[in-house]
Amino acid sequence: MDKTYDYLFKLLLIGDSGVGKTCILFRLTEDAFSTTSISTIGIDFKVRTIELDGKKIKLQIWDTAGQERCRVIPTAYYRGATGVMLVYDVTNDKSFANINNWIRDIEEHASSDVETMILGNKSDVNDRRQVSRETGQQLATEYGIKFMETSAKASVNVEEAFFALAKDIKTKTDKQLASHPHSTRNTLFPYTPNAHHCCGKQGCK
Amino acid sequence: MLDKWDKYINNRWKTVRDRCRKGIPHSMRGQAWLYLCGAHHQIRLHPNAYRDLIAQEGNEQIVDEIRKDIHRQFPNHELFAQPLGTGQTDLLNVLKAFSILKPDIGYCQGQAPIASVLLMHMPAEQAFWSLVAICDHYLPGYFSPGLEAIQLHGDMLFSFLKRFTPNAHKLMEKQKIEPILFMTEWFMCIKIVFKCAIVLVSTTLRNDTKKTCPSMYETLEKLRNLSVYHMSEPVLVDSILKCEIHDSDLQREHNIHEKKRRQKSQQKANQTKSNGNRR
Repeated sequence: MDKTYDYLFKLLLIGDSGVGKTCILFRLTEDAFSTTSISTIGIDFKVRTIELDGKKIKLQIWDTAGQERCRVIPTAYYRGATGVMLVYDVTNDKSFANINNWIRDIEEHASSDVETMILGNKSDVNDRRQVSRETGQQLATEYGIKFMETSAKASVNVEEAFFALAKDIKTKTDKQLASHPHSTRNTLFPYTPNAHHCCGKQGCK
Repeated sequence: MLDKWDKYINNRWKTVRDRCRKGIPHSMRGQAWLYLCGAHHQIRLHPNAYRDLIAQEGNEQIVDEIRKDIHRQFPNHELFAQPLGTGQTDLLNVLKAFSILKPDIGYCQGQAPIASVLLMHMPAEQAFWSLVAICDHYLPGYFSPGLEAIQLHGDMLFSFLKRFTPNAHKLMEKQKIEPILFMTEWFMCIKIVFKCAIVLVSTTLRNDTKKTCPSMYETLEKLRNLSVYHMSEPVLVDSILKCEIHDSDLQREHNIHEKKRRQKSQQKANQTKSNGNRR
């Protein structure tokens, strides 16, 4: 079969209900925004192929229902994921407070070398803002992960965020490839059984 | 028929069934659903309950969650298009009333589309009691925290797939596709259930192998975008009628998988216990 890409990364979008995960995905893959969105039930996913350093990278992005009780799905959802976009809504401080819970969720279910990034979405809505950019940045720094504010509606930083995450994953993958040149398959499609438990230290990825 | 409903439902069940299969005319659909699920009894028994429930505040966190969803159901339908119009207000009330009546279930996102469809066909109070009847009798456990019932049905569906469409089952197993990855929305929103799901999976993936679906993604993509042909009534109904699964099969699979799940959780509990002891 004709292989149309050099890398395949499975990325996850997670965060509370209504923070705009589906809209971010829609902006990234269709470059559009719809004010009439519908709540996600179960799981949705889309693909976008990007180019980085002359290599084609296929991003397979999974989107899920944000409601807490739907978190039964994680084991199947997290399996094989190389990157996570953790989204909160800057106009909703509860969604920001929940970032801590989501990070615990990632530590519990995702592979230990998953790359994570925090996104503060709806950055265009300034009059109802409850979480400042600095507060968001500070939390991300505490966890030692990248941070960006995005707006799926105004098309701010969505593409940039995914490029940044993809770049970090690619760098890591290349490094692994260089040290284990014969295990291409495993590093391109890292599959770590879900039994993995993170060491729990801050900033551990 | 609705005037003499008790007589029909108790003594002439076949007539009711055949009329439903022929298709309930659009104008009658709301009333027919109300009677079919038995919600009309509840309204008679508790005439003021709905009014009293919507007058209550409800759990703030749950109402918050509901609020996030009421503008995200059928946003292009005229009933729900207007922000906080009749449709959205009724939807909020119905879901809130439910969460107060059944605090152990509260609110699950899968309920909103069901309540919305009910509201398209009947007034709010009737929609509320129909939702209660559906959640009590038709989808028990579907919306409870943990979604155990959905997972159980996912396991059952997988067993049936293995029997009826071994090819598709093998492909999914190889790609580590768990049933909840594609059936949650189908089952939870009562769009597609057992027989229908089996038929659709089998027709959709009939000729697929590792070549046409090299990874989980392609396979799931196919299941997410079912072909119009396979979904068209004559084709679908015809295949469903040919699909031989009886209530006893469902019951048997249900028992098998329920037992398996119980054993698994028992094992887990024991493990945690022994881990705790070691510490």
